[in-house]
Amino acid sequence: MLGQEETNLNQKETSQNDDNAIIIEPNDNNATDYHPDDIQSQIQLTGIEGLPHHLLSEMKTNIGVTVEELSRKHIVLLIFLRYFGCVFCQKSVVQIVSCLSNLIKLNCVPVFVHQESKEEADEFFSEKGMPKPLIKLEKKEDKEITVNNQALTSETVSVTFEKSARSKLMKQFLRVEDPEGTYYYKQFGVVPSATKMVTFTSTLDAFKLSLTEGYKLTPDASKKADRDQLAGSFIVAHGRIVNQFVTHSASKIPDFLELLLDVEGKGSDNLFDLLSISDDSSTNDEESIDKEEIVPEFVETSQVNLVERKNMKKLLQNYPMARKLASLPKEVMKMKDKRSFSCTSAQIDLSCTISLEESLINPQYRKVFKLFAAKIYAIESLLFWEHATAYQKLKTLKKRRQLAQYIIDTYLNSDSMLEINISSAMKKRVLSTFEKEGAIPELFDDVKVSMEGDAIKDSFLRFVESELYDQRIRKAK
Amino acid sequence: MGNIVVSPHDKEGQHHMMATPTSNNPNGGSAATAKNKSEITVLLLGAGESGKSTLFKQVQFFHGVGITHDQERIELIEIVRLNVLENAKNLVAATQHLNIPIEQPENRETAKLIINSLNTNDLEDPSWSKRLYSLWKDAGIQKAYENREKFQLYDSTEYLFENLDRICSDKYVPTVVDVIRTRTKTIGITDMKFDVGDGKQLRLVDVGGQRNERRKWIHFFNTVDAVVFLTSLSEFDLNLYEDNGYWRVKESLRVFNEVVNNALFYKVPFVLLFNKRDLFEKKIATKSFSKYFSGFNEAEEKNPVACIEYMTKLFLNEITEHPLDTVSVKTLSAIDHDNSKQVFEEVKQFIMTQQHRE
Repeated sequence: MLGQEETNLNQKETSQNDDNAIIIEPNDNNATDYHPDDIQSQIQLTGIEGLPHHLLSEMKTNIGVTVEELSRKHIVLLIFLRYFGCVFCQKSVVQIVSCLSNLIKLNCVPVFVHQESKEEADEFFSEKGMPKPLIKLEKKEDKEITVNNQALTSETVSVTFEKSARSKLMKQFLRVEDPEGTYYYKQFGVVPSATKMVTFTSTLDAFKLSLTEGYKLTPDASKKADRDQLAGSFIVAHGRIVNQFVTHSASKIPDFLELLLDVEGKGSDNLFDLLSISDDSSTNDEESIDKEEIVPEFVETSQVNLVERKNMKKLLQNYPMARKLASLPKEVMKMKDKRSFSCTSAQIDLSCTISLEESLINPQYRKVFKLFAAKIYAIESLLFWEHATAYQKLKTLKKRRQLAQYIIDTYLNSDSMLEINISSAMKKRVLSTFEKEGAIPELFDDVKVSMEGDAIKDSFLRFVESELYDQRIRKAK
Repeated sequence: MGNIVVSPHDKEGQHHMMATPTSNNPNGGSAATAKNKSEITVLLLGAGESGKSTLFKQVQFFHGVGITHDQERIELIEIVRLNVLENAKNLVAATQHLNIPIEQPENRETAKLIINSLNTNDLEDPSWSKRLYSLWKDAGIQKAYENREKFQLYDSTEYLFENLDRICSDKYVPTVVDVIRTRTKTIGITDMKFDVGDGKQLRLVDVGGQRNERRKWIHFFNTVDAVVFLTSLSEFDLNLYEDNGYWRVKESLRVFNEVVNNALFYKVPFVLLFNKRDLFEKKIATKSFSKYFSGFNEAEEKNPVACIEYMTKLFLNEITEHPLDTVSVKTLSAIDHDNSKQVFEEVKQFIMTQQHRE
């Protein structure tokens, strides 16, 4: 029933959103749980399978590394922009800026694909090309940075991407130039608008945007760029495209977080699952990873010179998650809760509500909950919960030790941007247990229970009151 | 719910994003929103347990936001009972930590159960009301409670134990006061909006206060029209939840300094609220205030007015950048409905007047 409702939701929201579905491991028998006898899913499956995965290794970013290489360490959010003068294109950039801290927390690197030449792109991704709404913010922030350098922050965009104002940030965005203007676009199925001029409603939307939010309508767009070109977004993990959003309306910009968390999707439990798709030759020793910087095949690639490796390393420093991911046992990433809920399940009462427990255990609910948590800046609690749950299920001491170290570094370390909100007494208890007794299976039990009782509870209380809950869960039931 | 929007994020809003500024969206909103002059954004800031969310809840209640969904009610019952258990656990743990034995054998039994197995569902059984109350009244537990500055304990402890007969029942329905009194640690951000006349809306933003939460604050600093900074008067003998070796007053002063002198807030009205005045007055009756402040005249330490005056000076001394004529200082008892209402009304007036001047 849940599956059906979801399809309806899709249709209601956007007729194009259906392509949004995702594939996970093809051998996942469980997949049918999520969309029983849904023919469309078959089509969607070939939809993503049919995408040009092989092109990822030739799409070179401006720092020299390819999208494929990036996707070995990060989740890549590949955004095909319309053309630089377009307000929707600018709005996409603004959207990315505003959810950047969440993207970083989820180890996701945005990469823009553009039709224009490299030079034009350099101009766009700079102070000069910065969309108006960002310029306004910039002016405010400039003052702040000069006066209040070390105050308060350590998590924010400006700090994680090297402490800087937004114009510097613009320059640091990775981008890929399309060699023929629209070659990659075509290969990825990101098409020009069918109606020659972009539709009337989009034009109207564009005017509204420029009026209400200060975007500029630029007449002097690049000659190279096709103005009828539409936008599209893809999620790439471990050399494969795993999720997509293509649209036939110029004004439609996806919720990037939603795309990333695959809220519409039919199975991928979380991002760590996405990472597991790979044939990643993971190393056990964290040190060796830091030395090699990235996975071996990347180092072996002959075209990669030192500068590029340095660029990659620099990027990696902004992503604390990525540095340590490879050190995790593989089952952790693959782990998936096979329990699935439906309306017929005896555990659910007749009222249209779910308990906190359900919303955590059921992967589909948890995704929506995670999306909500990300939007209220509370995602770290849930990411910790997922890892602590994975930890409890690990069988061998060696694997537990690796994951324990990862959890401690990521969630208990007060320098981590994903530090969770627990008392220092509790933190001390965990650290001293780890030191004295090692990676015992119960190591994080108390923290997890306590989080379920306060931090996660607080988010959940607000979640059940939210529109997102109404739309995605209450109505779906 | 009337005219109040409490949803932190509006999914449906995505569709209208082109037409209306997404002020409802704390994530995309800050960057994508052109400033809407008819909306006044007021941030509640302050270190952990300074009472931001308590004031926020009060404002919600006196603007007519009640407990609407059954689900919310169920969650609140759970939260109240979790508070009871957490308090009980902390007290029992403290007796061990401080080497104060629990005196009565049957209370020791209860304590064991609390530590090992008791959960919120058990509290539906009225017999727990008596057992927990008896434990609470145990001389050992009371002695630990007198020494509560030595460990972390919620302010609501006494209130909850005195109301066990209601809470431990399958018919329990949380009252407004219960909800105000229970402690929930706020994570991230939450906001509400209400009309303030003149076609204007006030958007009140509540945030978490512990160190890890403060890293997130910068995300909301862009579109601020006023800041209300809370600090707890009764924290003078307490250390931090997130860093048990660190004095809370020092932390509050530090955070206040960072916020009030932040260039983003030069031009916005700034309110400093000394909260928990009720607790503070009770506390200085039995505890020494001057012990913690070497510069304070010991002879005055039982006089709340003198103490508060001293604290006020301490905080105002931190202001180096912000123009003083746009700073207002008040005391507050956020758990007191009438007092909250009155103080918040004054704060609102102050902000509106300052806005007008601009």
